[in-house]
Amino acid sequence: MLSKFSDLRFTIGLFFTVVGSILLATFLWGMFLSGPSDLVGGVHLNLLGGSMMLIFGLLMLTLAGTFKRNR
Amino acid sequence: MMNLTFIDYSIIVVYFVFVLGIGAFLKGKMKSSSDFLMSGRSIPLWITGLAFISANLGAQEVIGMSASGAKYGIMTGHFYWLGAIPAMVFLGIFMMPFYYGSRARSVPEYLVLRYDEKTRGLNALSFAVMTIFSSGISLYALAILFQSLLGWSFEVSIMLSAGIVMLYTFLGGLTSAVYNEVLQFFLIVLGIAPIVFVGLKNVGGWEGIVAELPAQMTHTWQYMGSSSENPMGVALWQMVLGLGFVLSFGYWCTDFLVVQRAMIARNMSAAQRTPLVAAFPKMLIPFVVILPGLIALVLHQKGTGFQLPLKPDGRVDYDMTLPILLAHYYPTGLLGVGLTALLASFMSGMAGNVTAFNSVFTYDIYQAYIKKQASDRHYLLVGKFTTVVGILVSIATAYLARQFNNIMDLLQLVFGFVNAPLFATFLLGMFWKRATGHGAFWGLVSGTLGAAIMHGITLAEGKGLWLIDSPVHTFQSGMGQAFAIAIVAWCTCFVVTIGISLVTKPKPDSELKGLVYSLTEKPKEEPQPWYFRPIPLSSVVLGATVVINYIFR
Repeated sequence: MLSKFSDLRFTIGLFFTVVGSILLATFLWGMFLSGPSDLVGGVHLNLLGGSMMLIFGLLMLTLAGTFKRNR
Repeated sequence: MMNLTFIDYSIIVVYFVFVLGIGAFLKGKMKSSSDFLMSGRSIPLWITGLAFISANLGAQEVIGMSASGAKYGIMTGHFYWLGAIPAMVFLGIFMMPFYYGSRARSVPEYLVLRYDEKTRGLNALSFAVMTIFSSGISLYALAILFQSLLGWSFEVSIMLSAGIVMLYTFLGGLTSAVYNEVLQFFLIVLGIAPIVFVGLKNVGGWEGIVAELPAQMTHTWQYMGSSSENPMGVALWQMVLGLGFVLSFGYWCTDFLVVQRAMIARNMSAAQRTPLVAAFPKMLIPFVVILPGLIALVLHQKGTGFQLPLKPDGRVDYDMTLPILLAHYYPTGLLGVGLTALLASFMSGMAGNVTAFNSVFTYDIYQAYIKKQASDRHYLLVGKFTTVVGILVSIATAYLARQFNNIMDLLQLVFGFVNAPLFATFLLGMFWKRATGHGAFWGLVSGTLGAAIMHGITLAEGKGLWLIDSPVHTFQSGMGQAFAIAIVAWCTCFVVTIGISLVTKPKPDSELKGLVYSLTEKPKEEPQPWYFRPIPLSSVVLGATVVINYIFR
């Protein structure tokens, strides 16, 4: 697993997957507990930013071959 | 002042963990001085390309360009579409073959191969001093910003950011700095992009901006006829010659901070393509850093409740444009990402300066003048030691800036004088085999003096005019004066270098092979797709730049 970090695509992918997940969790937390707290200027910003970062992170992880099966 | 929550702080902590993790992971790979200072010349193209622009995407760019966007409008785009892309193409096509082909480890080392020791010494010393002071000034700006935004103490901001940069550059050397620059690039783009999205939605898109602001703020070329017509106060000749030629080519083609990112590519083809690949994101960065400035201005004028902050003297504090937009729009969570992006831009700029400084100090000052013959391990240790010293001097500079703000302004002015003539020296060195070391050295010295004299006899916005009592010329703006000074410095250096070279003895042709265009064998392009070949790639880059210039004309 550690050797994966030598591929920068993996490191960047993991970083944005973690940060994107935090933002989406923040969005969901707000939705369920106290109503949407990230609605600014008509846009759910944590939902928008979180999705963008999560998709980018997963894309980089895919490019790094993280989800390939070892045969 | 912003109030951060646990979630915001946790994002900042995640970023620090990754940044330090990259350094710790690379530690074991730093076996030689070449690994530490030159990344073993083994970095893939996509990384060198992104690091090339990210090394320049420091706080000055991110915060400064959104401030300029609010102050001068889309004309600020000239710093990219005129003042960067053409120079990056020139570097890739014409200059990289000499930098990379000569196997020089730094830009000053190319000067000793092409000219002589004194020219290298002058360049290395001035570069080392300038990078480390720039790093300190950037650190000072970070501490002041975080003090006003978050209430962090000056000491905490300085020690935290400088400490983290020191750790990851000490552990993983240039590779660590470059890897982090790529991470920081994506963080800055993705961290600021939501502001552009929601901001544009609020102001009615680009059409809304055009409808709300004066026409001078939404055109790049249309109001360049006279310096009094455009918000920058710059005439067409100053913009094209000063920014588009002298300053941009001087920075992008000779500044080791950026050129170093191309010099560590795996092979010549990748080194040539590094600035060309970098040019694609570079031409789009204005939409992330300049557009927020225009959005802020529209929001301010529309009376939406958003106000640009004022300085104590009542003038608008444009430097706070981006931080205030972050505070205005971002909720808990994304606010942490936005602030981390700002922090990343400061750290990226500082790490770039420190890694360029330690390479130049180790190779061009220590190895050249202090200890010529030593083991590779010795130079590796010197490189590591220099990293620590570089950071400590940066910290000391930040404290100096806090005490004597005017000294920093003066230093930046002097740095401008030193940088302005550099491109003439390289241009003559690479394309005129008759240019000599004496010519280059005295050309640089006289170019710098020419710049200082021009500043001393002209006036703009109350600045300059320290040599005589009444100005020879009064410029519409400080920017126009700076561009004109650069042109004078370049021309002086160019003429003096040619004059002295003609009366001094040149190096024999045999010593200039691989260093001068006419004496270097042209590499044959192997049959491969167009996007692997520098010339077709550069045609696409230039074509796209012309289109963008036309759209925003």
